[in-house]
Amino acid sequence: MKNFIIGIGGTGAKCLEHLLHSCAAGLGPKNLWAGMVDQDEANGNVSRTKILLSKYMNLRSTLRDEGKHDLAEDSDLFKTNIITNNDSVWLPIKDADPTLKQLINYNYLKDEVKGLIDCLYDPEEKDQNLSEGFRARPNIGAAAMLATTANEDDPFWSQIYKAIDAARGGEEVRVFIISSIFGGTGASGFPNIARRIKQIQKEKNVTSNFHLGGALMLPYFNYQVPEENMEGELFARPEEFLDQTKGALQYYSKLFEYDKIFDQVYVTGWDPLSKLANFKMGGNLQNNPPLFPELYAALGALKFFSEDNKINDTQEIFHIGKNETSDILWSDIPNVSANLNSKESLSKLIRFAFSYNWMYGPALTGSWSKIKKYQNENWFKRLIYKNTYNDDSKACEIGHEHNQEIISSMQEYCQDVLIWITDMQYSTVVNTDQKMDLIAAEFFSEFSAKNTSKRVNIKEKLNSSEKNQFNTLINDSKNLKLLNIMSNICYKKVNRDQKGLGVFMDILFRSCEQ
Amino acid sequence: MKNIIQSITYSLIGLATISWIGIYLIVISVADPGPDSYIVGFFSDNIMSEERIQNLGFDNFAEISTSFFTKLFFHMNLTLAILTTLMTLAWCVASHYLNIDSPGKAKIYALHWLVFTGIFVGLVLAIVFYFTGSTQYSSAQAITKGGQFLLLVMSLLIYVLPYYLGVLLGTARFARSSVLFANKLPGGF
Repeated sequence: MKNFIIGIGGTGAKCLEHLLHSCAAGLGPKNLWAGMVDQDEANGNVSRTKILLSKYMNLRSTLRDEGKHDLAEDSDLFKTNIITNNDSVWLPIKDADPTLKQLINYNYLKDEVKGLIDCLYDPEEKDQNLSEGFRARPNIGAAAMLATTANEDDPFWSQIYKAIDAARGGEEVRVFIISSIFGGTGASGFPNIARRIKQIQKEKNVTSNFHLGGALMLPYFNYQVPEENMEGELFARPEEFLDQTKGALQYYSKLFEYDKIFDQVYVTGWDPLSKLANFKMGGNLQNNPPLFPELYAALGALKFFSEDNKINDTQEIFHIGKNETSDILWSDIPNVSANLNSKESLSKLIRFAFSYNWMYGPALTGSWSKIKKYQNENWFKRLIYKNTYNDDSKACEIGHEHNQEIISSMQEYCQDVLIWITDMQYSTVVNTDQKMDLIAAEFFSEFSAKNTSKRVNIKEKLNSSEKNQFNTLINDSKNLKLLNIMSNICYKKVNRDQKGLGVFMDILFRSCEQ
Repeated sequence: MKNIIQSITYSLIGLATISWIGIYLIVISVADPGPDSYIVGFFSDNIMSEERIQNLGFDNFAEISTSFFTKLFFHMNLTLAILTTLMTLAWCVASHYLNIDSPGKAKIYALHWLVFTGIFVGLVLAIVFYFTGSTQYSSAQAITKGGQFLLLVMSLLIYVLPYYLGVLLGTARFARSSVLFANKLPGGF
């Protein structure tokens, strides 16, 4: 089965961030092509996901190399083989600093067409620089998307063509699109890209094996727009989100009534809205935090890709609700399938990230002269020494550059996981009556909602009383101590196919299971 | 729990390698070795004082050997064997609960092991001194100072060595750095 996911706009990119962590935890399908669509390529959210995607792919390929370091097929850690194009972000408009006028060749249009365009777009909309996205104007985004061609030479669209060709060849193909229903890029991209994909499917006469799914994010956050220096600027106004959503839902209602575009659609929203401290019109400063509803969309995508998900001929629309109280709990997180328990897998990844970042990563970092003090410890002998020993040089190569690169990349990724879950936990509920109780983060991190460039600061070192709080890290399951992890890594059975550092990484990951 | 059972099994194997001597002594003691046996001769020549035996009103050790072996020697060895087994198993089980939560921390618990082992050796000495110097067993009065020392050395060999082998093999894998030379065992063991 071939799976494709497309995150459109800032929200789509943020949902992909959740999806990547979920895939690292073993909740994803075996393989997945991931791509993003955003005109605002420098957008902080898009670039954050782009970096995370590249970290995921690099770590996975290094740790799934049958020659050197292999986690082995059975391992759930970085289970999904995610691939992407050389540039994971597709820009609908390739020109530098384009405006809508330039895009549609406004000056060369006949007067009557010009008149029509004048009716549909304000003068500032026509002259707006689109390099930072469509600024919550789906009417601009829709025109821009439709003005671009979807030919096979385009690296992004070539993937869609390949997917449809694969479906025609008899392989099951699933494509999933995630975006917000409000805003600019997402709202305009979601229906247009979906319809374009369907159109290609029809042109290629593919009637079976090809399934299209989507997740639509209804409004789930808002922010305060500063009053000064905003006159004449085009940007996403939170007070317009609900009206935009209403209009968009009416549109989708009609679209779905007359045309079966999607096989399965997941609709997610949040009430009360999360309040973001950060307002930026676009660009690299727009660095919004990961929020809980995006995890729903990501898990929806993974459910869609799950082999247990039997897709039928009718168009299915799913919705999900959390418990009625203002507390957000692990029990509010749905499972991907009967065999894939989201809580178990995510909590395992969080524990892994914690223990690797503060316990095992630092112990394995540095030259052999620093690391060798652990050489007689059972976990080191069994999982590291034996698997990084070079028979030719008769030495353990854990301190060598290539191994150290893997160790530091994993530590970087583990910090990303801890920052992600902490940021989501705090940012989803900050300044609201809600309470999110997934993890106990206060003992290892500091949160500052206003520091948009670094909302979460995780401690460099933990003292022994902080380490002892590890058993309270995951709420709802307070029994696993760091001592149990140490015990588990000494006793868990090594898979015969595992090699190099893949042995240690997988054993540590499995040891973090409750 | 599976790991603890594994530890107990390994420690019992370690114990068994030498402690069969202790068990053998217990068995022959309770069965009464008989006045003509080698062990009675050995005790008569090296541990007992003929003069003290005569002071007790007997001609030689063979006359009191039954009382010595079936009571004093049997009780002493049984107590030592039970103590050794309990102490070995206690350490092996407890080692799974030592708070070794990060790399390098097991070494800290070497001190705990040394104290624990010291207590065990002290108890062995105390038990041997108690039985060989006790007035409850009249035959104890016939043991010479040299004989008492020999019994002490033999008891240490017969019970402390299996204790060490028991903890060597049975200590939790992650706590091996706390036991002398245990971290030299192969990683997969």
